[in-house]
Amino acid sequence: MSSAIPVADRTVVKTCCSICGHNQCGVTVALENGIIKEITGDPDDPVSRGGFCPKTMASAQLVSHPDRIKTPLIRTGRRGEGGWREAGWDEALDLIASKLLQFKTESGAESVVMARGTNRGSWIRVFNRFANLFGTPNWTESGGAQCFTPRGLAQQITFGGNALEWPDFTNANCILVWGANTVATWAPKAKKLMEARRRGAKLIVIDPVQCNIASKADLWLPVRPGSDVALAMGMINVIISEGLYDKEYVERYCVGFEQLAERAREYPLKKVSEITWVEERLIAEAARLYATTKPACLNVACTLDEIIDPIQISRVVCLLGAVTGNIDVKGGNAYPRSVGQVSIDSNAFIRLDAVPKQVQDKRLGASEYPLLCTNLPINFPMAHWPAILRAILTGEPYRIRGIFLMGGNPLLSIANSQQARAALEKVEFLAVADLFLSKTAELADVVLPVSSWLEQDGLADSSQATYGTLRTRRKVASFGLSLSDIEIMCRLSTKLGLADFWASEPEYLDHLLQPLNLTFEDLRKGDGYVLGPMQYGHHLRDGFRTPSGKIELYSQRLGEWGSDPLPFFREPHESPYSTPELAKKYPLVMTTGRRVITYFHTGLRNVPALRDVKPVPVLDINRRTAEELGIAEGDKVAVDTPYGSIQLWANPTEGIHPRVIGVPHGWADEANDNLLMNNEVCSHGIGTTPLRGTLCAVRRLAQ
Amino acid sequence: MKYTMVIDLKQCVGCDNCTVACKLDNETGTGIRWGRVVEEAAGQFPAVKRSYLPLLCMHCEDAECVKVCPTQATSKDENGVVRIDYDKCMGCKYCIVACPFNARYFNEAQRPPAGVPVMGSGDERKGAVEKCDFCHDRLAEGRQPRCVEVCPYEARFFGDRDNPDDPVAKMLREQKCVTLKAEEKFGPSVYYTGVES
Amino acid sequence: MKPQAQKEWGTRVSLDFFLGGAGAGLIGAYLLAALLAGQRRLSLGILITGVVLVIFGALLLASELGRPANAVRSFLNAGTSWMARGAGLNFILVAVVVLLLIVERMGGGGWFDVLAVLAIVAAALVAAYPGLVLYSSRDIGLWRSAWLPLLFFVYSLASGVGLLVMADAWQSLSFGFSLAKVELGLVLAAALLLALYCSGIAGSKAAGVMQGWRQLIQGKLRVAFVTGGVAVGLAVPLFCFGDLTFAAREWAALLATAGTVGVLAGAFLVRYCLLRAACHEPLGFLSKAS
Repeated sequence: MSSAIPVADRTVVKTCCSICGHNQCGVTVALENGIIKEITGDPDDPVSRGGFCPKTMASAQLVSHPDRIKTPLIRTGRRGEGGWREAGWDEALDLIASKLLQFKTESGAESVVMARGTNRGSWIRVFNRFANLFGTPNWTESGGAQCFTPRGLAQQITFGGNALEWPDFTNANCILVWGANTVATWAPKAKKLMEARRRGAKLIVIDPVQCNIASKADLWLPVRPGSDVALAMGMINVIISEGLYDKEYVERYCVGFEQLAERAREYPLKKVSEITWVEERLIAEAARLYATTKPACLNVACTLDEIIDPIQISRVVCLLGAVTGNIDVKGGNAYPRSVGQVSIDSNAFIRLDAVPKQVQDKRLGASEYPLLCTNLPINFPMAHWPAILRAILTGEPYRIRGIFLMGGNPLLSIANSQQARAALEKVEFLAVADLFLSKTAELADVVLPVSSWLEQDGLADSSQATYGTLRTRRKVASFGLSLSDIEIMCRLSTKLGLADFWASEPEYLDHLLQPLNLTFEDLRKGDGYVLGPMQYGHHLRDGFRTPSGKIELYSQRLGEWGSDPLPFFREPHESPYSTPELAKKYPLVMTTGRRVITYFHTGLRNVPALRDVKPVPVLDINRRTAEELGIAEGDKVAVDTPYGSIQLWANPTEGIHPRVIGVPHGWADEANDNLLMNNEVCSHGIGTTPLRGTLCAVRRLAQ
Repeated sequence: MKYTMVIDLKQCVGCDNCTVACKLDNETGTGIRWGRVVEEAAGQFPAVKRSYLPLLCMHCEDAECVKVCPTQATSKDENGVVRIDYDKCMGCKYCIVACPFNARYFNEAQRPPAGVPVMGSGDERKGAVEKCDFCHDRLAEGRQPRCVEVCPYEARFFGDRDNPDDPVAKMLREQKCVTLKAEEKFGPSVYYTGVES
Repeated sequence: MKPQAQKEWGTRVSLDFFLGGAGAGLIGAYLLAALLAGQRRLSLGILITGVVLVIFGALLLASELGRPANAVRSFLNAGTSWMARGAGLNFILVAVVVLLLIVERMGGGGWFDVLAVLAIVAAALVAAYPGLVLYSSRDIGLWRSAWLPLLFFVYSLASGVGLLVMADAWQSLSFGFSLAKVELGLVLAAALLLALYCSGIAGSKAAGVMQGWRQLIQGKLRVAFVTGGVAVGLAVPLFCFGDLTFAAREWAALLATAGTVGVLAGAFLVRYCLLRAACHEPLGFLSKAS
């Protein structure tokens, strides 16, 4: 580490990371002679308060990574052979635009799929608008029915708003984490959580694996993957039957309590313990601790969205918060208010009206999965990936001719990678925007280079992270000809002749800020924040946005949709109890998608500083189970399901149930957990491909 | 001046910020982690205690590496930092064998996994043995070691235990702080607090 | 946490210890025998062999150095480092033997005796220092037995004397006493020391030691240690040299060779196994790995 560079050449820029896109951690970037030297979490950031993770710092290696795409690439030779020629932006975008317009003219806009990966800030809604203005009903995301959508629906149904996303750790006396490894995936939240711990707050973690955050818990409940609804109902039963619920809150702000209480009586501890594989004593202790330590907040994440019954589980977690009086209160789960910028989370912003109704009716998956694919007042309808794959492969119900993909890697990240590969190899035209030649991009006809967050100006406005405050991203580097996602869409929109889009990203940013009488330059030159402090109790005061105006423990809406208005537990479609014959061959229950802090979904395995810390994909398996199978630490093992087989490296541990294993997510080739998945049996109504809580077997491989 | 680090195991959540920051700052190669975090657990499912243990060079008072180094490349400076002079090291690795804390690494040709490039050089250390140097360059500028700077969970502290007003000295007085392999009296300058007994 | 195995020193270092020990043992034993027998004419072949073994061992070690150019500094820390002492001693041994040979060719005289004694002392120290290098590693319990440096020293002597027995079988060195008897004694001593070492190690409750011991008698090193080190390395020589000592002198050359090869194999394999099996004591505060 050289100290030869004079300190005077040092500049420090404040910006926000967007590697995971969800946290938007505020950071300081120290530069010497224009070269990035250090990236550090900014303790002065009003939202993240100095929380950040290793991916933020390692982003410096993205800016100089030898394998990043520098220019647009156009395929030469056959698909997947790896032959590319460099092209300018105009040529590449002209090619994409001409193809998409050709498909629209010849086969209808619905023959074009616009797909993306996960949320990384507001560009996801810009993408929605882009797709709608083009006219296709078939926009989709890899997460989709497996990420946020189910729990978003559950929260809308119950609260009329997304309270689960904003736990108020700072003021909480008890924290219940359900299916989130907060340390690995929500660094600023984890920081606040640990601060609360230091203050004396209690921590309950429900997770099949004793992960980072679970290791800090006062109570860890290793729930059988897929049985969470039973566990939550069991806890509600304890809370109600022992009179530990918040009587005044329930009376004033909830409807359907009596019905819920009656339903909860069907979940006595003994039965729940048998279903969930969690000791009775532990369930009761957790329920009592949670109900009696107030205020208490709930911290959940997308694991709940990846099981076969996703809406139910999030709903029951909502009800836990409701009956204990912890919703819309300080120290519980609250609702941040927007500071008044143009709201991107509205049908108006995404211009859903630009797609005629008869075209929207053609959205792939609409007939089977109305909760995902049709326009309900409480969601953004999207196409169902399995239906898209089938349409590409079979031509039914109509041809899909082109895919425009931004910031996603569906070859690895959606269930049934075998089918995804067949479809992506077959589709007529595939254009991908990414930083690297991902496994999906390798199959593309055109690849567009996207800039990393260090190379972008923008607004850091992922609502899950920002809690209402607006923050600013400031560009500190450039790479080749790469452009930001939004800039790419702006230029492509011009080529496509889309009306009501922006010609460039600065225009878009200024548009968002207009109601605040600010331009992006004002923000960028200033301190970059527009503060939106947490506010509590306004729904308690003014009513919740539900049909009854109250929290719906008993949901009228669900009843109208033909579902049970109250939660109930259903054994997963594949389990030791529902499919005992299958379980003879596949005796272990699998939770997949285990998060590792150094990686984000399918990315970052090629970043040296990160890869060196977690070099191989690891299987969590109980020590005794491993011994019985002759597996030692570090052994190469296979995980088998009826649908496929993958290879991992074994980590025997006591931190998991003997009949459960934990499989990581986002690795390529033989370690890709989506090779183990079925995408034909999906959740009723919403179409979730069940990624967790299915059956598998493990065996040792030749080393 | 006796540079000292205190690590609070109750706060460490195993986020590896320290591990990665150190790698980036010092441009260490594949398999070389001057600072690292290991997982410890005890008990049987479901009653399992699990914690994360940051490890680094302990900058021992009675350093084995200093004793065994044939060329005097490794030495302890006046502030208690154990330093390696790469110009003197012959790369015999005796110090690695002798180190009770597995804190030292031999710098040889890098072999990252397929698809991972070699980035950053660490070239001046090729063929020598390397390890954590307590960021003595940064200390000279009045800054904290990098691993301390990047910990968001208040798990790491650094200071001078010879100065009674230093926060670290206070921690050593007021909290139960222990070192690894204490019975062997290597005299580590890295203490741990919040240790489950 | 599991004890971490020592990974840096393996085949090349074991070979260096073995070759250096054998060379030093050969030089020291030969010169001692020659002095005791009153011989003033020295065998160039034997001494050169000894020197070559020592130098070859050192070159093998040097080939593993990351920065061999700095090896000129390798004796600077002789105050506290056994490796520095060893480096210096190796150099001194070779220099003294070369000087001795020059003096001997020039007619001998008073310097002959002084240099011969110096060479014997240097050889003894070169034979002893690797065991002390290992013994002084405070964190590796497998090496923290006082029997270990003694064992390595005796192995070096036995290697050297074994080579002398072979040389004697081809062309009598006329010392006037039975080298085979001396060798038998040394092999017996090695066997006794190995037994004492093993019994101490086997009874240890330290996690690193237990893990290392398991490797030696049950794990990957079982064949090399038990079959190689003990059976081939001790039982075969015991038989051969016993036969040579107490029985008729038929097939003497063959027995001597077999016995010596056995001793040399054992001397190398035991060192190799003890290097490879060595583990650091585990780091951590929670008592059991889980």
